[in-house]
Amino acid sequence: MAHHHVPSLEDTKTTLDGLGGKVFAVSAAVGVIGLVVSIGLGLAEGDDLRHFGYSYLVNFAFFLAIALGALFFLPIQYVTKASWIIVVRRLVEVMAASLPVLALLAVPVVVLAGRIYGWAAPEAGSDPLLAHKVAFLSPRWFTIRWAIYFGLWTWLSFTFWRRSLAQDATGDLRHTHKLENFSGFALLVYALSVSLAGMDLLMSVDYIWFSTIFGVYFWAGGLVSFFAVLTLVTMGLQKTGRLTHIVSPEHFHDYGKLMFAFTFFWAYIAFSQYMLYWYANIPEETGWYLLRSGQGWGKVGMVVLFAAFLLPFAGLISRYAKRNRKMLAFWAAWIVVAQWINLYWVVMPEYSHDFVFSPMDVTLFFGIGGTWLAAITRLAMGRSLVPMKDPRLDDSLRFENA
Amino acid sequence: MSPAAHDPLNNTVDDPTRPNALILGDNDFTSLTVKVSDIVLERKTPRAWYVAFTVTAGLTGVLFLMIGYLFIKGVGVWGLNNPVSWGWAIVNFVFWVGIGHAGTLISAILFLLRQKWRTSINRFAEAMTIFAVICAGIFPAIHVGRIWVVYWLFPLPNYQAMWPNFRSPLLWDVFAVGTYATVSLLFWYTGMVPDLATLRDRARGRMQQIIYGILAVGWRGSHRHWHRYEKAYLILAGLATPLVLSVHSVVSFDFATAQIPGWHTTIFPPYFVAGAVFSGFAMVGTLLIPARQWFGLKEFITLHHLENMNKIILATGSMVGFAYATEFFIAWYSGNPNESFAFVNRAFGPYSWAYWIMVSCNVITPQLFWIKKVRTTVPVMWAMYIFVNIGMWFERFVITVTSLHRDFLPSSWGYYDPTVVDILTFVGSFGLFFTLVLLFIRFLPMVAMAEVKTVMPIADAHSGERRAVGDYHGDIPAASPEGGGA
Repeated sequence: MAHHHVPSLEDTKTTLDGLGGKVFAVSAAVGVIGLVVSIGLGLAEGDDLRHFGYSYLVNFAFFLAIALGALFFLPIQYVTKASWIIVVRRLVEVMAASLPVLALLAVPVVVLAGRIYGWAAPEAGSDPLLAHKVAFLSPRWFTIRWAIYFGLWTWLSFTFWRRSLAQDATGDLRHTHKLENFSGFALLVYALSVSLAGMDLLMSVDYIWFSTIFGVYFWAGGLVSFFAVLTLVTMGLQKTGRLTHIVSPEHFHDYGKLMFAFTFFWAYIAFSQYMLYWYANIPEETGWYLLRSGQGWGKVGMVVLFAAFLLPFAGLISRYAKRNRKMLAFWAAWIVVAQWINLYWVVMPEYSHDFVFSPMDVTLFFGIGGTWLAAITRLAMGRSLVPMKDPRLDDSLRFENA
Repeated sequence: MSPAAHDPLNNTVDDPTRPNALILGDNDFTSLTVKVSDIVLERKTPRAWYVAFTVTAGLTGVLFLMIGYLFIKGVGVWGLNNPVSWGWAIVNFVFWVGIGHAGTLISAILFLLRQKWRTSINRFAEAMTIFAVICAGIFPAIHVGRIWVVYWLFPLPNYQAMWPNFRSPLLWDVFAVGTYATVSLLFWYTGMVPDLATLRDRARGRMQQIIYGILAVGWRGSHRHWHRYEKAYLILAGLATPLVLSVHSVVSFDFATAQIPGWHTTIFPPYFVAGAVFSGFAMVGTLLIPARQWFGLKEFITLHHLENMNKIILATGSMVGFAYATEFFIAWYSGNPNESFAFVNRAFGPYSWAYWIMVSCNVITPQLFWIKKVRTTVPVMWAMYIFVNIGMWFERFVITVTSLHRDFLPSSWGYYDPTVVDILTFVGSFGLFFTLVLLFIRFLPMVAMAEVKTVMPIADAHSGERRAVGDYHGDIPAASPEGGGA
């Protein structure tokens, strides 16, 4: 095959420049206004912020899962010595490095635990099913665990972030070596902490219910949203004339493959959990699904089945869809919404057995999402959007799907 | 780094500026073809092959004797009892199916992930997959008790309108394993067609020419042939990818849909898949290491290939360990006394010996692969593969037997011991497996010649110049003939 002109970093803009300040200001404003309005809406409900707490949990879990998806994707690139992705790796690093900001955003979940989590409610103490694990599901240990999770995640994400930036300056290959060695270990720490955190955050809302795969379910859903957000962010930057030429349809094709593959993987995990509990039909296990299949929530469950699995699966299967910019953007945005609905369906039935939807759910999405976007913009400002001196950058620029 | 840099057969040096060479030595297309096809066509069959074949064929005889005995006497000749009504037959079935997973993972998933190093080992792994599935298929077929109605496993139209129970995971197994065997066989054969044509063209005996000629289905290597071949290969890879997940997931359903503590848990499907890949890679390694040694294939199946396999073993072994830990945690968290009893009983009950063999072999020893020296030292890694093989058999034993032998009614608790027939049947299945492997080595090309050629530096029109990734990047820049060294 004839070699095309190999794009170089000179062909395009690789910094945010003036755009950074604008995006930061707007998203921070959206974030703050969103949060303030949400608190107002929450207080207006007059339920001691109970509804607010659940709504907050949905949106917090959504953005946390995306950042954790980024934190997974980084070490995977290093252990596999992948090169195609290098040209956009900085975007992944930025998303992962936003985890300390998400630690701040986790504070309301911990503070409002008594309104969200059954186990933290004052009247729960008398339940013998809880007494057995009260040492684990207690406000104190819950707080300590979240401190540990975020401590670990911050450490992991900043190790990648710092070394990658340092390599920008010097091009020192030792950073690549160090991170390749670090990544295997990072994945181990990641798997244990994220699985347990998923259970803490979402499974323990119903403290009776349990599922060994739940941590994987949380992680897989987040990974799908992460790939979708990465696609949208890359496209957004290209719209403003950044990263053009160097991120080619070849890279977007791979984004599409990853979205497709992990949509399927997420559905496989969801099916494994659902089918096994449905089949064995043990009350303590099916209760969780029973609640989510009746009174309005059942319809949401069907929406999740179609929106988060069947439709994007069919939509992304063809090569054409993955290489067509508009279609890929459509499905990426679709997946973001679908995964959000999935989390809504996981959390909200615990708040109300009947279907509910309030403006707060949307304002909190913008509140937390705006804050998060402000954080990643701030991190990216004044830095190159491409790891300029990565030894595999050249391969990434030349990348073509075979 | 220093000793490795001087060893021409060591291509495991980590240098991010330059990928390791996939093929070592001074090889070109011709030398590759000669070295691989001569094993089949020209070289005299080593005496050791005949010795090994005699032994394995004898063991295969033992297998069929035991099956015959079983058919005459009934399943009472096995160690099954009440409450342990599922013994070695299901253990062996899951063990062999699991081993079969490495082939599809290498041929399908690693293909889609553009892992070019797979080309040297995929043929061997795929062959092993098919043989393992053959061994696996025997056990559910013979364990049914009334062997004369074994065809009821299949939904055959019949005038009595008798159908199998479609709600039974055992029936799903029939479909899952059947599909898997079919697709694996197609994949293996399709990939082998160009190589069979090479054998046909190089064969000197008339008989060889005719047989390889028939098998090569008229392959002439025209552009149109290659075009269709590549299309078919990609489609088969796409079809086989979900099969890697589905087969062992369905096998896990045999256990997980039941309400038995220790079986019924939602992590089973992905955990079984990880375990299957883990055991499959260990078995591929167990066979590849002697094969590359005895047949002089070290330039094609390099240390780099083995190191990559060891990394996959480390990753999947850790996933298995992660699943064990999660099961234990949730057994406690659930507050279900039966569930926690099942797990405590596994670790500290009458079968604790089996449990700790499993944990030592599957979780603890593979962690040594964190050390590069262990990953790249051939005798050490071979010993590790043996550990993994043992550990993964014991995993299935632990899951099957420990959950059954102490059920909900303490008065019916029991202890399961295999009989001589159990043991000989299992040993005999190894005989069958190795017999097929030996036949494969003798009569078919062990390394996918046509595919390996595409990753050789001279396959690149711009040989000597770096080539884009995403395409085969097994290039050693021509300037450094010492091959990937620093």
